[in-house]
Amino acid sequence: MQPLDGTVASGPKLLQLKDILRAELIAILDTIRGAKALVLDKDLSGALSAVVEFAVLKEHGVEKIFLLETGVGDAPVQGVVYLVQGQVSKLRAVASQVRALSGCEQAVQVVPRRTLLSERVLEEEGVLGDVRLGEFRLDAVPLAEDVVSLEQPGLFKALHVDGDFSGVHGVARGLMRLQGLWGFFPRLVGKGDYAQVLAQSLKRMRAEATSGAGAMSNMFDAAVILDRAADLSTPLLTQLTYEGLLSEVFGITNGAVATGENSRSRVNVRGDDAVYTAIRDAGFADVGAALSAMTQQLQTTYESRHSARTVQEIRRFVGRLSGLQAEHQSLKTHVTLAETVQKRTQTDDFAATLEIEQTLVGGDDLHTGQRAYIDRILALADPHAYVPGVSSERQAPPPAAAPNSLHKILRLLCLSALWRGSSLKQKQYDAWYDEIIAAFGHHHTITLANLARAGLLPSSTRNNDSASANGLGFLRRSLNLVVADDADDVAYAYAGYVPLLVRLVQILAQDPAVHSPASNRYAALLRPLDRTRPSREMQQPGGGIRGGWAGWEDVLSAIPGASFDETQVPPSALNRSEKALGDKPPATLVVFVGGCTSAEISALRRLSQLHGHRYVVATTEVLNGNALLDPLIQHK
Amino acid sequence: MATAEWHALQDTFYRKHRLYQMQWAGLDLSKFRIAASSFGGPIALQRDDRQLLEAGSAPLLDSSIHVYAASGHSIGTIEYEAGLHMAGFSWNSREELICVQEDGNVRVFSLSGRDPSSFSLGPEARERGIAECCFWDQGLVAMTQDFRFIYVNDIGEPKPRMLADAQLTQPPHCWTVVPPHLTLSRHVEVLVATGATILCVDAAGVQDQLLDQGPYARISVSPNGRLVALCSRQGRVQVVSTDFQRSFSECTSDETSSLLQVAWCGSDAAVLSFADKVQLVGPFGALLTFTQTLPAYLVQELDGVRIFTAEEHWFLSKVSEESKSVFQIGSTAPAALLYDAVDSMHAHSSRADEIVRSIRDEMPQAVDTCIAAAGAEPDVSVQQSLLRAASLGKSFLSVYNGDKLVDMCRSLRVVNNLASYSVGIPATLVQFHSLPLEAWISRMLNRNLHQLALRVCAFMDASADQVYVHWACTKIRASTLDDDALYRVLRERLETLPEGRSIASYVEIAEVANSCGYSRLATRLLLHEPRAANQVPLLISMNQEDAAMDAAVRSGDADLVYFVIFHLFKSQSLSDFFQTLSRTPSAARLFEKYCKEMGAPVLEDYYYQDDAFAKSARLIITENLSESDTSKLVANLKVALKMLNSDKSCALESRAVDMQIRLVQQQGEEYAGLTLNETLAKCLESGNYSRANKLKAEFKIPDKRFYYIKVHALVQRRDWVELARLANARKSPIGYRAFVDECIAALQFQEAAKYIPRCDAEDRASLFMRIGFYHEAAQAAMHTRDIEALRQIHSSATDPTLQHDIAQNIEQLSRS
Repeated sequence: MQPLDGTVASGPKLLQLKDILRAELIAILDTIRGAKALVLDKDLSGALSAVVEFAVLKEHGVEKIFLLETGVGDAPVQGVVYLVQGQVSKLRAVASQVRALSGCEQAVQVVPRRTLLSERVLEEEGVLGDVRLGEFRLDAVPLAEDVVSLEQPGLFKALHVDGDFSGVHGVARGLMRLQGLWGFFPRLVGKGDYAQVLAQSLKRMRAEATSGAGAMSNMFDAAVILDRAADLSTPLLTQLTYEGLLSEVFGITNGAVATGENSRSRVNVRGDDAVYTAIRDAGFADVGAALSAMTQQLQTTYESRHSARTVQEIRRFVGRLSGLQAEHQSLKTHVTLAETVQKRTQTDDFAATLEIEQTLVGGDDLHTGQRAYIDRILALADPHAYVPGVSSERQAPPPAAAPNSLHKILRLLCLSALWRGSSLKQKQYDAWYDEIIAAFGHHHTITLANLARAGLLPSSTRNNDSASANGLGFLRRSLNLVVADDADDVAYAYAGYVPLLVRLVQILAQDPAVHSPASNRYAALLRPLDRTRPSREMQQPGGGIRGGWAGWEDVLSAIPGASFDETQVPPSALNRSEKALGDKPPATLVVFVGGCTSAEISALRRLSQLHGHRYVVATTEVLNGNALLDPLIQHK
Repeated sequence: MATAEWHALQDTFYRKHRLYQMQWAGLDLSKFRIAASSFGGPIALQRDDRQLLEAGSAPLLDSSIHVYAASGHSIGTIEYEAGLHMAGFSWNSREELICVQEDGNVRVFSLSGRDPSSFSLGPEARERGIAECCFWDQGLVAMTQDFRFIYVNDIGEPKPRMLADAQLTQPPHCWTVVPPHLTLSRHVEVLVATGATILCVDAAGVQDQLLDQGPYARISVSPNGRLVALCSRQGRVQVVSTDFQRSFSECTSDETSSLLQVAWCGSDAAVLSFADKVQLVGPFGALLTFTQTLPAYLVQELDGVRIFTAEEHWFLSKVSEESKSVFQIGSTAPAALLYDAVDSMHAHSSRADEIVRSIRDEMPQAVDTCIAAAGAEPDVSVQQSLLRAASLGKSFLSVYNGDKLVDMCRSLRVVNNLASYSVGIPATLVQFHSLPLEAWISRMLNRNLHQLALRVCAFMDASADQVYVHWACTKIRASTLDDDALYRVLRERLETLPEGRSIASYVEIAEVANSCGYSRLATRLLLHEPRAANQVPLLISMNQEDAAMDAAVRSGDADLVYFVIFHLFKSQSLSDFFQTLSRTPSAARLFEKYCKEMGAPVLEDYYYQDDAFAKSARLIITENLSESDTSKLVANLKVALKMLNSDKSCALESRAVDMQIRLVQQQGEEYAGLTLNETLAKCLESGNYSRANKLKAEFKIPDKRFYYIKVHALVQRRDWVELARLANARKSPIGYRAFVDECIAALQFQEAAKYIPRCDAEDRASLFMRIGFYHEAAQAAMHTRDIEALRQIHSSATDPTLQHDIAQNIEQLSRS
């Protein structure tokens, strides 16, 4: 799969966010004069390293970086800058260190926002007067040229289990930063209750910032805001792109693959490695071929040294040498990684898991063998297993088969509950409940209650509203989610399944692929007559948000959460924008409230290629199923 | 003549323009401490309590601070208690008067003198007492009476800190502060003249500049922070770079009378004031002397120095290049010609036409220069003639963008209005442009010049919200009406703004209304506030908790909800607080989360009164996760169980907790902390089969689970006898594939081979193949007539006879 070279040229340059964040960080560091220590929240290290290099920190007086967990200890310091997230536990840790270091100049920078809550915690700990309290707005970190992280990990749990909506405000601030750079999104369209809350926050912030004025973006035609709760099933499925599988097998935390052995052996998977960018979105089956092609290419380039005759030619070759060596190194790394991944994909265990997923997504009930498999992994569960994408420190290289972790089992269970809906028998559910308690401990009564609360498992008081009663079956049929042949390219990331949220974007883009041949008649019956399906050949796929939700009310009502479609364009500017329709903004922002998977990003990239239009992703975090579930799990 | 006020200093000219005849009557400035604000701001006078005064000799002998506009009329009085000795005071850019007392307290007054805020410079300041202060825009440095320096970087958020100890034992000759934005380190530094040298003191340390020509009586840092003027007692003036590495100019005035003050005129000339004269020291040591009859006080401005005495107010500045090219005697610059043309035109002379023709191509520059020169001239009539000249020149140009001329006219009109005697803000155009318009508007509002401010806003096409808000606040403060009448008055005015807009925020007005005791008015005004977030703090201070909670929830900002929650938690009784929470579920959930994270015990009470049994039980479970005392754990879990039993929807949970209680009671030391399955597995792995069977019965462990765990444990234990017994006891509920898989995973192929024949027929060949038993694999494949499997075996097997047999078999099968 080719990177989107052609379209990157136009549209917003996300990487410019990096410079802004770096400048803000430097300003913060400079508030403490002279040499200083930086005490860093571990959860920020990834985002921070994406923004700034250590050398820059050093230029601004940072002599040493300590982790918040360990603290400065006995090391002699003159000044300290704390960079921490605003959780109570972390601020308490900061407070105890501030007390221990009383006497030197200290600044506490809360990320991403100095809240009243953080002030209160420090006040209760009695250190508010001793420190300079500020904030570091690390709220929009570019991960690639088309992905920006809004840095709200665990937002799904906070919203849907705790009811703590403070993260939405943070997301809104991050998006305001984007709007500050590229103008206001002319349109806010989306699905899901918290997506709507976010849209309202955005409108309110805009009103407060500009009293309703402010230039409309000519970069983005709209922001499509999608609540993770609208599609819980996709992240639970096994991702089948290269990056997705790295995340499933090794786990990607803080922008690096944890390959085991020790904490140093982490492979950076940011967008600045040409080898990686070329294969990250590829379906895993194609990765081998791509790597071998690249190896051969590299070989040929190396060989060219023999044909170098003149001094100029030799110089040209030597000049490229360091680049080639970096590429060589990167290739080597990825070949090794791909090998390990392949070992995993060839196990019975992987096949069994995948088969269960496909059975459920296909709308069928599990057969006896599949039930037996689930019984077996439940019986032989390992409560202490390494969970890729969750545990950040790990020592052992990944075992050949995925360990039977709670996460793995819950993913299958939740998938059953979501796709079977009311067809999942109460007896079966109760049996699994008991099995999980027996295998993992009684405190997972809380885990299971959390999952039920978040809508991942049926709640104990079963309500037969239409959405849950039908399961996702209705959506599968009406949105053509399962594609038998690979004709629908977007389905490649999950081998034949199209992520629901990507389909929603396609609806808005009026992509004819949404209508399946099978459901064609059915669709024609339901849609208004003038919206009959345009044939694929006739309609040139164009990108961007063209349609609205109209005509899709039945589908939307089957997805939990409100749907909305609002314009931010002031009425006076409407005529002008219509006139200027000729030059359409080159990009659409797709916002995931509660995180999205690598494979979903890959699917949107494929969509960008098909439509010739950039879909830029802004997500609160990039996660896999384990990372989605982990915050909901009651840890011992 | 425009050049009448010019004074030549080498090749440059300085203009000493008289701004005002001071309106105050006969003050003896020497008896006062004086603080004058830059940007033409107000002048504060307080009787200098360090000087002895003849009783009844002069007015204004009270301790209050008298505030005058730059034109000398009084604009306010700040009451100040006698006995609080002042160490120093100064204005900041918001026209707030910062007063540092000798006892280490700081008070900040607005121009109206209302509601001063105050803070302390810390215990050191209190103990030692403050001797002197230096200020910059947002901060200050105070010297204690034992010569230590305390600094505050931001008066809005004061955090007093000590600078390094310069170890002074006697008062410095003088000292000054280098503001943070002018230093290399971006932190405040202090220059202290002591002995013959100067020390540079900052928070980290003290650096001796190793000078030997002191002692210095005055130090002054240039506005751009690059140069320092040092004046020695002997009247020698040196200008050096801020790092003291390079000396730029030096001059000695023969003056022996006492030096009062040093300031910078622009960034390249220093101004010295003496008792009877003011001297300007130019870039190359040239001197310009103006004699004064009265002692003069200097105010450093961005582009010059204001000099005022008891009688007059002057502005000393460099003459701009544009003015020079128009007015310098003998100038033949196009702009000068153009200026002359206007005169000729008024005189109906044809020379005007000749001049215009002679300018020709240079007309655009001539026009621009005239416009710029108008901006630099202080005299209105000169400004007018210059603008007329520009306008005349413009009419000869086919393409000329008139915006510059229009902007200049508009700005000058505002500047001239500000400079009038009645307003008394003598800002130059340069100063006017260096601050945003809002700052100037707020300066007018500080003086309650609402009408003028409104006109300026309309004239400059700016939003007048600020003016209306300030007007409304002033109105409320001064009002004697009742709530309703006042509301009508305010709304009448605020509702009908020009162009049908309404003002952006009512919060500020409501706050004032509330603080003035008009709480009903405040509530009604607050209803008009569009931003929910702004309403919350005020509603709370007005004790309208429910409304505050609503507004906070509506704002969508969890932080505000927390703000209300914390306030209520402190101010209300626990039961009232819980009731409020139960009315707003979203707030209740935030409170729950906060308590969980803080480990606050109040959550238990909350759940209890809310009858939230399941939540209470879950809380108990999480709290006891690391409880190691078995009896305590069991007791606590029993409480949780009882709660779960009262909630019918928690059947599964209560079963789980019940099981856990029994498990904990059975586990003992050996298995403490393990789950049921782990306990079972550990039992089996240690060979304790009977206990395992007991566990199975006790906890009703399903057969299948028991088998999986047992097979796994037996293979781990390599107890093949027991494994065989298990396989043969009865038909395995999990089939035999699990046996094989476990053996293969443990690399026990011989054992695995025993159970393969009992697996499904179609799996056997591949299983045999996996453990390398090709003969058996071939047999199994033959049995199921699986050609594909046979081919695979053929390619992997190494035994030639076997390969031959298989080839035959394949042939046989494919033939049939």
